[in-house]
Amino acid sequence: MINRALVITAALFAVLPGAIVLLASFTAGATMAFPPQGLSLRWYVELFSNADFLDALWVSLVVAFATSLVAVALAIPAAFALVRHRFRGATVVEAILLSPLAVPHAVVGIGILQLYSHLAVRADFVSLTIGHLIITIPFATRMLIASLSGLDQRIEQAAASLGAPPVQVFRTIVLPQLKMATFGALVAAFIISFDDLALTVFLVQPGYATVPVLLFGQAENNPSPAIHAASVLLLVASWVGLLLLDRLVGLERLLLHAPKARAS
Amino acid sequence: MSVSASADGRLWRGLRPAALLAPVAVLYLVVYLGGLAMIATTSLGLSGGDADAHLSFAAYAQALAAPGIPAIVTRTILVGIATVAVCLILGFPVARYITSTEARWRGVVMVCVLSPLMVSAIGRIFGWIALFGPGSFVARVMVAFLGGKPTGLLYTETAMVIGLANLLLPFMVLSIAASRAHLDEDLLKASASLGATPLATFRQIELPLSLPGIVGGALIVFSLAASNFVTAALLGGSGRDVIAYHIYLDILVYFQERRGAALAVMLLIVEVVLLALAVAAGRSAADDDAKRTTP
Amino acid sequence: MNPAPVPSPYLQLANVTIALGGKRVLDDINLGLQKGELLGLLGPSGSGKTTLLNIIGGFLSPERGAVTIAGDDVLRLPPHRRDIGITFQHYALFPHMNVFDNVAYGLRQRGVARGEIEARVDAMLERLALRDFRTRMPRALSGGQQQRVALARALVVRPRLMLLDEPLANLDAALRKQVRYEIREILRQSEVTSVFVTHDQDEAFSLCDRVAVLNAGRIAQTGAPVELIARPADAFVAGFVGDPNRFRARVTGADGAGALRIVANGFVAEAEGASVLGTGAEVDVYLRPEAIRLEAGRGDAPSFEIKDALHLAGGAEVLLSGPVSLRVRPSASDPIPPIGTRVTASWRGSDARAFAAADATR
Repeated sequence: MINRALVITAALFAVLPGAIVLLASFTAGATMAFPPQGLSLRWYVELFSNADFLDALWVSLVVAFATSLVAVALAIPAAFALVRHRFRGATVVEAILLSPLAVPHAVVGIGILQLYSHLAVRADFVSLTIGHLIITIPFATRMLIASLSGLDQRIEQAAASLGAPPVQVFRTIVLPQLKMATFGALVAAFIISFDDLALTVFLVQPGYATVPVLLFGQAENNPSPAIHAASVLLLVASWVGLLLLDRLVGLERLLLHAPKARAS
Repeated sequence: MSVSASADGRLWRGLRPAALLAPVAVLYLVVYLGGLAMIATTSLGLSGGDADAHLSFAAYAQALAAPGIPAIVTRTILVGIATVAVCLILGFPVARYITSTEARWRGVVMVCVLSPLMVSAIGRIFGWIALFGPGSFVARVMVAFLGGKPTGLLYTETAMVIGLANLLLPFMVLSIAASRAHLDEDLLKASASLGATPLATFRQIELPLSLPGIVGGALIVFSLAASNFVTAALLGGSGRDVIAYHIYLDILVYFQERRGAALAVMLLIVEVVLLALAVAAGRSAADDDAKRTTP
Repeated sequence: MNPAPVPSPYLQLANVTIALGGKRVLDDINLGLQKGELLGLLGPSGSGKTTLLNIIGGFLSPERGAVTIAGDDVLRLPPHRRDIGITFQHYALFPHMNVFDNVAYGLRQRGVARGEIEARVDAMLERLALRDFRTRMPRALSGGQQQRVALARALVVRPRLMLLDEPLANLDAALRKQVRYEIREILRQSEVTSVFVTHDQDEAFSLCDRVAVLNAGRIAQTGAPVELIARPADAFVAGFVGDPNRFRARVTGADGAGALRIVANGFVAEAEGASVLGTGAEVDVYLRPEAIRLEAGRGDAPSFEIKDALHLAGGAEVLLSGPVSLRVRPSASDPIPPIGTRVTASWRGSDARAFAAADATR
């Protein structure tokens, strides 16, 4: 019936473009068009011998790694402060912390660009990472808040009653239980940073492009199936991240906030 | 509850919230809020641009009066509405499917439909370009039978809607699924047992109870579509600007910093208002649920 | 109430079978209900009773079997054309409609005229003492009130059959007893044939004319409550119904007609069982606490000692230690000897039901 058809259509629609990119990347021809003309790996070879791409890949990887590490390092104490300390204004702080989720990345990017030019900051790994932190910290914080809220505080109280000072309790009791959420937050932050374009396009300068920015520029001026090959790289990386996230944290729990319970 | 609060206070007294939040606070204050403040000041003529700095609303006047703006805004709104429509048509059945208990392929459908949330957006845009852009099968068919341009569907509003719907479908699904999670299947059975045809049950029971999720989802999808930059830029191209792309051009290509900043401020305000409405819609639904349970 | 004798049942289930997820949930179910009768489907969770309800209601299709109401084949009809009233365990009131609109829903679907709808709904609300809640929303009602609305909603359309899924399960204990009789009253008054599904024997026995006991997808026994208690068909029914003592014994004498002499740990007694049980057979004996008589200070050596006495709301329960442990519920007039007294325990043979010992002890 119509329902079933629409569901199948929606599922196929969702994965269609990725599949097309994958297939088109193996074309032996020279256009980006689908269906591909013949099959070949030439564009992958081309891609990985392209100096611009390799530079951009390096920048993307470094920034993504740095972003994810720093974002989580900042998010854990922040989440902790919000969940374990019920201080006045905590809701406001949390709202501000999560607010970048509501702001278009382009606007964030423009703001940071203007700030940087005002302060004469040049584009480099650090400035790019700082920009990416703004859009990754909200995600990381949200995940960690969710995880922290679910912990049994009595275990922490038991440890304290046995003589462990707060820092020890945090290190030996709280952190280990946050392992899954932490890895999840790292993965999520990495993907977001690696794939971002809307913010990054405002922050880059020649010599410090990321892969998405490079592709954006190439799309207009120099369309070639090498772009597909690079896209496949991005897709594979993010699918791996997605599946990792599902394994670590559970997509259903993360997105739907607990599976539906059935009364027997 | 109060016991654990005092226990927390004593337990974690060493790690003050201020200290824990300080690094993030500094970062946000300087970079994020500082950046937004800079956009505001630029739009008000106090910084940026070539002219000397003095408070003025000239940038806003310029932005609103620019000849192309009405067309751009109209296009942005229409694309947004069309995207919402597509997301509703596809998203409602999916939300219904993944919240029903007898769905066999629930997990697979969920991963597929929700994947655009995490999977590379730009990577997939090139898939559309390959599918219906110049030289593609679709383009050739269009040229041959529909008198279309050799660029196929690329650089059209239709392409933008397709790309945006693909990107934003998960948001609609999640919003509707959340409001459906409390739509007990027994309600639908009760309706049927009382003689309501499947269509009547849908209209009188299922739809009204899914409405908060539908409204919330529509608001979220619309606001994200209206503020979208990457998808619209690549699939629409210049000449088919939507507002976010136009802002990009103003800032980086046309060097109209103040005008671009003014547009950015206005876009931000609209976006925040829409999202606030969406959250309110979602919250009222949750309130209804809380009161609905048997005392 | 005696219905006019009808040769064929009003509701008939024949050979209903269904498997879900590879498991055989219902196996060859046969049931017949007379018009106006109240039948209880009693069984532990997982016995398939809710599945059976879903099949009758039209939300599941059986693999095999037939369901007919007054001769009509019901299985070929979609749920909304079966004219079967259903009340759900959690009431399933439409949360976005007030009480009146909830109850009027079925009538509106049938295209009944507005004036008549108003009259019938108001009459039904009056009968169920809901008139004051006419414009209230479900979330503002207590559990008991919601349940009455659910009943009103199902009954007002005068369905040809009523299915009630655990109607009392979500009410607190005090309310349950009172509501129990109200439900029976109103169903009787409406003269509507009804099937109850429940796991609670008190509910089933107090509400229903007949009870069908379900065990792992099969009907173990169908009959009036007294019959199930006095003459359980198998070990499951004997153990499930009432609250019997159970102990292992060996048959030392059988008369071929069911009367048995049994011995358990040296204690000799009488019981009744299937005629196939012969000397030497190992049996499980089920004995109701109410059927045991205690006597202190009799001539022959008493085998039991009173270990403890519990004074429960419904009466006293005496715990005996001895060759077997027994719980006894003496009648109110019998005095209870003090703890430590040695007593003899006796009963009529026919009150102790013996069945071939199952290998798995449960």
